[in-house]
Amino acid sequence: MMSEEVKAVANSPVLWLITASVIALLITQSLLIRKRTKDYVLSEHIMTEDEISTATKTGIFATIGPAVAVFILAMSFVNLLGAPMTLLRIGIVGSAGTEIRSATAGALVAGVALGNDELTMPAFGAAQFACAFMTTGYFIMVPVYCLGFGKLFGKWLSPKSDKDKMPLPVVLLTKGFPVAYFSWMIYMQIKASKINAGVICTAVVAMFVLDYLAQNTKAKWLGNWTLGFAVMIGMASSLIWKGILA
Amino acid sequence: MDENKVLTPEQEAHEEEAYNNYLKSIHKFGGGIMIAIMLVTWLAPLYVFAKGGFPGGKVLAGTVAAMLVQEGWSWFTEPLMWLPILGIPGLYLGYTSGNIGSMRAPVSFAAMNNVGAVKGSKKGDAAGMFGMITSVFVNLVFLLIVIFLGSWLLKVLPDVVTGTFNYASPAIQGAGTLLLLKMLFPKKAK
Repeated sequence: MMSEEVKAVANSPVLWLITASVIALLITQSLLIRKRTKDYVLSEHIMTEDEISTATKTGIFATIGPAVAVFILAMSFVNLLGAPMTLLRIGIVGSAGTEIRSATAGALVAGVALGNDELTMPAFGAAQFACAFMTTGYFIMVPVYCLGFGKLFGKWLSPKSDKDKMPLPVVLLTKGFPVAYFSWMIYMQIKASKINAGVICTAVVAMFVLDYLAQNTKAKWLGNWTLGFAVMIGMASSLIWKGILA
Repeated sequence: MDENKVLTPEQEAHEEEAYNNYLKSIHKFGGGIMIAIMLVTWLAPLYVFAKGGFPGGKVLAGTVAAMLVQEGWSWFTEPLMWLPILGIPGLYLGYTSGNIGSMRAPVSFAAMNNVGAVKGSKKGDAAGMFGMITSVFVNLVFLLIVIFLGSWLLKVLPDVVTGTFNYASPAIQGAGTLLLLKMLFPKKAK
């Protein structure tokens, strides 16, 4: 789907170098933030070493399900726009869905329907530009919000005691917003296919049971695995739901 | 830490100072490196432009317009929505590492849940953060597999297995939402 000319640029060492630099920056940022957070929570007795290790380990298995979802999207992107851009845009920096929408829109403005037409150099340029422009908005707003609202939010969101009453707008923001967002995502999934509805129900039930077992039985080790297992059970159930609903 | 204990004004002042110092360094690393990443990502389109991929001013203007329509509103609302969910350190890292709704947030909930932290508390923010950082590294490993072994994997894995891959997203939304609800509405205050 790419002309030879585009293929050469899309897989060029320069684009690989740019991608590698971003990965290096991300790793540096992660390690620095981790170090500072660890120092802070230990010195202020907010968490114990054990709890830090538990939270860290939870991330390993919990990421596997979501990583598979990103994997699917990334696979289709590699053929369309090349490996370095896939790694940079889909894997890191942006969300897979948003990035694909942006790249598609950019290429389309340049007259190329991604996936159908052969990708031309100008369309590749426009796709790259669209993705960079799209994230720039977020990368400006995030520090603005963190710095501007940071103090305010810190006060509201870290009550000295859980008995402190949060003002209503804060409750709406901290509880209403997330619930609305995830409800919307679930609605979109169910709208897309009935099988998704079955998969969602199975994952919810699996999560509930696994979490109950992890918290109430001797199987404490299960805690690190609940999200990963629940997602896999949900995915596997698609085979059964397909049989029932198809 | 016993979250219900009554603090003397001195202890309270100390806690606040420690928290502010912590936040200051997070702004430095989180925000500073975020801006650096933004600048580096711009090198990619510039390089493609230099190699003959400059689509012309008209196309760029059209792309800007399309992006403003498509994402303009989300620039303002989306980070504001995630801020209370992920906390300040989590927001910086979430945006530089991407895939918040489908990966970072559910992982962060799972980590919070596993240490029994309440969402929005300092412990919750930190626990979510540790989980999220692990996910950055695990996801990088997965991506490298995609890049180097992806097509081969899709060929060798049986269709029964690859068929279930398409249902990863609804499964995450289901399990993640249950975790979120549990975190937002704990049965008893700890």
